Amino acid sequence: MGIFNDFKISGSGMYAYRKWMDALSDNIANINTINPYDQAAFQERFVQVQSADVAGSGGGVAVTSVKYGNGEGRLRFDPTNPDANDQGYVRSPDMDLSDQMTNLILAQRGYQANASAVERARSMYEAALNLGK
Amino acid sequence: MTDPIQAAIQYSLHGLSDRQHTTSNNIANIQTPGYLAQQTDFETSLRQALGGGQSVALDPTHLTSTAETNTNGNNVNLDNETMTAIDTELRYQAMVDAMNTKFKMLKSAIGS
Repeated sequence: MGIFNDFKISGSGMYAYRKWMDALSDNIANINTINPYDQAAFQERFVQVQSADVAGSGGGVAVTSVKYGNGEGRLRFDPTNPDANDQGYVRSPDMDLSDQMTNLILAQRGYQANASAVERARSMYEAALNLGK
Repeated sequence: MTDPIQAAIQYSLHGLSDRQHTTSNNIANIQTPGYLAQQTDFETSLRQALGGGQSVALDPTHLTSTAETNTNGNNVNLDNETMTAIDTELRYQAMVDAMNTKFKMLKSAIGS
């Protein structure tokens, strides 16, 4: 048990949500990325987390891996596209903007929840420093 | 040497700090698949220690929440955690004030 462990715990939560937001930003930036038929489509980014003992603090959450979604994507008929194959197909990513936006809100709220936990831990530690004054 | 009231306040501070730790951990894992919310209980052992004549190990215990889980196997409830965190913070502040009052009494007794 080190000192100020709650900061490490909430910090690990903020980190995990920031990673998720990074992945979601990447997804949203590539929501309209078209790839040629003979290449993989842009693959949706997923962040995987697990509860962990972060820096010996006795709690927290850790990002374990980033997983990639379906590379087949969605075939789109777009014969005027220079990347289209002989049948006129290109690949677009297999993801929806509505899902990404929903997750972005979840990630943002999760980040805020952890940030306010930091604030409360701070005022508790501050109270402890006033012991004996 | 140990003043029982002072010891009780000290243990409360310890227990409340442990509870805030648990709450932070629950909030950090608010969407972690399969994570079950934890709770800290120090009041039970404190009550036993204050009430009974026997010696009691003063150590906060941790319980796992049995609330229903979401589809991802997680049962952290942000409303509960936020309320617990605010409640714990205020109680902690009150305990610090109580301890400081105790110290002030001691100070005036030794005449400084």
